[in-house]
Amino acid sequence: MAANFWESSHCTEWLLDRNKIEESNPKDKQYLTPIELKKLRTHYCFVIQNLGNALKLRQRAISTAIVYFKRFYLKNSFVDCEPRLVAVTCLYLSSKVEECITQAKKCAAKMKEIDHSFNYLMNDILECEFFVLEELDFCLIIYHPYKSLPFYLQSSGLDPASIEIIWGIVNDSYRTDVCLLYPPYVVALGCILLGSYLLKKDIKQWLSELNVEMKDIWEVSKDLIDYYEFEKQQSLQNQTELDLLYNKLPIRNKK
Amino acid sequence: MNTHSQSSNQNGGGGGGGGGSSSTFSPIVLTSTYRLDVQEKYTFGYEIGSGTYGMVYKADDKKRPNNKVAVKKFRSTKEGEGLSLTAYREIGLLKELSNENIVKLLDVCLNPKDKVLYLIFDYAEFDLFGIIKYHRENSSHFSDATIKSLIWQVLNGIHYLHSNWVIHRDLKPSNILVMGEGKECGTVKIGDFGLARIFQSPLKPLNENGVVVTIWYRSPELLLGSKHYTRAVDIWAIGCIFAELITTKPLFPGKEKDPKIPSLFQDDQVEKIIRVLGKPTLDMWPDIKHLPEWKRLSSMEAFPNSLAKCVGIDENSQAYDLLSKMILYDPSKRITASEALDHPYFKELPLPLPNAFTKPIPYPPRLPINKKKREFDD
Repeated sequence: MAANFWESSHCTEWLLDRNKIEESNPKDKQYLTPIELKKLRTHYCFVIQNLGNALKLRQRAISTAIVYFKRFYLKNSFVDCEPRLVAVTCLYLSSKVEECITQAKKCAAKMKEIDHSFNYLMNDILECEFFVLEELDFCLIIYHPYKSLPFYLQSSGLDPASIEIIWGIVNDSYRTDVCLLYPPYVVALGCILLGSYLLKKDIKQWLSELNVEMKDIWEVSKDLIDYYEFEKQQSLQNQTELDLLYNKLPIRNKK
Repeated sequence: MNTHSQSSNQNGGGGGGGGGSSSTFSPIVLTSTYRLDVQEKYTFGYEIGSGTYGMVYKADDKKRPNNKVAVKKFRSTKEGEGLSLTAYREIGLLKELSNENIVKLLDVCLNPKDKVLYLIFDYAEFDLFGIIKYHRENSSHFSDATIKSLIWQVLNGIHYLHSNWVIHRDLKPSNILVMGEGKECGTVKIGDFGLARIFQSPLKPLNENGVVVTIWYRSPELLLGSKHYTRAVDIWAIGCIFAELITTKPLFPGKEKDPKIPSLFQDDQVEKIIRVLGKPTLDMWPDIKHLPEWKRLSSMEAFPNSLAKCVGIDENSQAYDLLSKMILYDPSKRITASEALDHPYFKELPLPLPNAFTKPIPYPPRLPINKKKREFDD
């Protein structure tokens, strides 16, 4: 459980292969190109992060909410389940599970401050909470790379300045799908590998002594590089363009 | 029971084809999961328990005839708060835990329209509260074999929790269930995880949720204001339960002061402990001087240790040795679950067994609670 990732639902039920993730948002594909959908999906990771920051929630709760959001849309679509409402609800739920509870009313109000067009109210979040729980199959405990990171960073011998950069990469990794693909310690090592590459530090010797599957670690850093590339090419924070994409979707129950 | 809707389908999210035409409920989101109403899967019987969270019912599993289940119903608590933290701790942990001496979460049902959540467990016919009461009222005692089997299984379940970084925090006889007739007859199932917490790098100090653990089973470090929960709080509680199985009476039945003021010093409870174990000294428990209520304790009257006499067992017995190590004052010296399972008490005859009972089981089955009130209501 808590100490045993290998027996957790995260490990046994929720580490998926890439094909499965490709099937996410099934109905939205009628309305958006794969790139457009990817943009919008990434956008909601930012939304959760920004709302979490505004509510002063711990990064851990924010990251848990992003994982919930990604799991939710493995089988569901934005057109049926309004993504802003689900994003807020995921954060409300994770604030309870990670024991830094916030109020649904406050979540709705803060979201309205961030996005003036958001008109869902407290009761909508409280209702949506049940649907999110169900779509998660009631698996609420999420493992994160944060736990193994300090240990790896210390043993890798990287300097404090590098460490800060690597923590940033770990937080960025939630905008990719690596949290659905790999165990958290692999994600941690992938982030360290990328960080060391960017900082031109050689950690190959250290990595080879860890006795871990190098292929997966490379994959994680490759996914991250692809993501940074994508972020550079696409204007992910351009609200007008995002609104355009959002409005292409005939979303049910839009408020 | 009439609070449950009779509607055959309340499928709020049945994008998958749930024919919920009779319902006027329009869900806020349309999810892909096809949902069966709890009433379609289980036939509800009478109420067997209740708490601040809601109620527990005995029910039949329609898919597995002859299989009784316990259905714990959670309502959204206060207006605007949704499901309680208690419900989330219980679901979150029980979804992940699996051990023969921990209750098994079989299923979760929900009703988004009425905002109700149901947790479905194997039905356990007995709990230690009920069977201790049976012996007390009949002036009879548990057999040595039954006591040993029960305590071994409780320790086994707690050892599993502790090695997975979970502290139960609310062990008491009513939370220790025992299976009735059937393939798991006489097996202990630790239940009620509403206060359980993962204690590896908690986000907040555990005590910020208010003081927990029913007062009779509350460890001295908590009574003296310790801010840190450790696994040792569960071991203390098991020690108290061990003594209660031997005598059929609670070991430290203190009078609780206003439970609404959680930080209140429970002097009667502390005195009950001192009268049995003697007053703790700095030699016995060096860290006691750091506890907030240490001064108040120092001013209390001293008594000699009379544990053996109170419990009525030989000071040279293995049972006494184990008990005294479980209710040791200093939490850092208190025996751990894994050490306790290795204690000579469990190696000498009679050996602990997976079925704690000898047949025929004398205890009466669970009865509906609030029976009178219900009849009156009807």
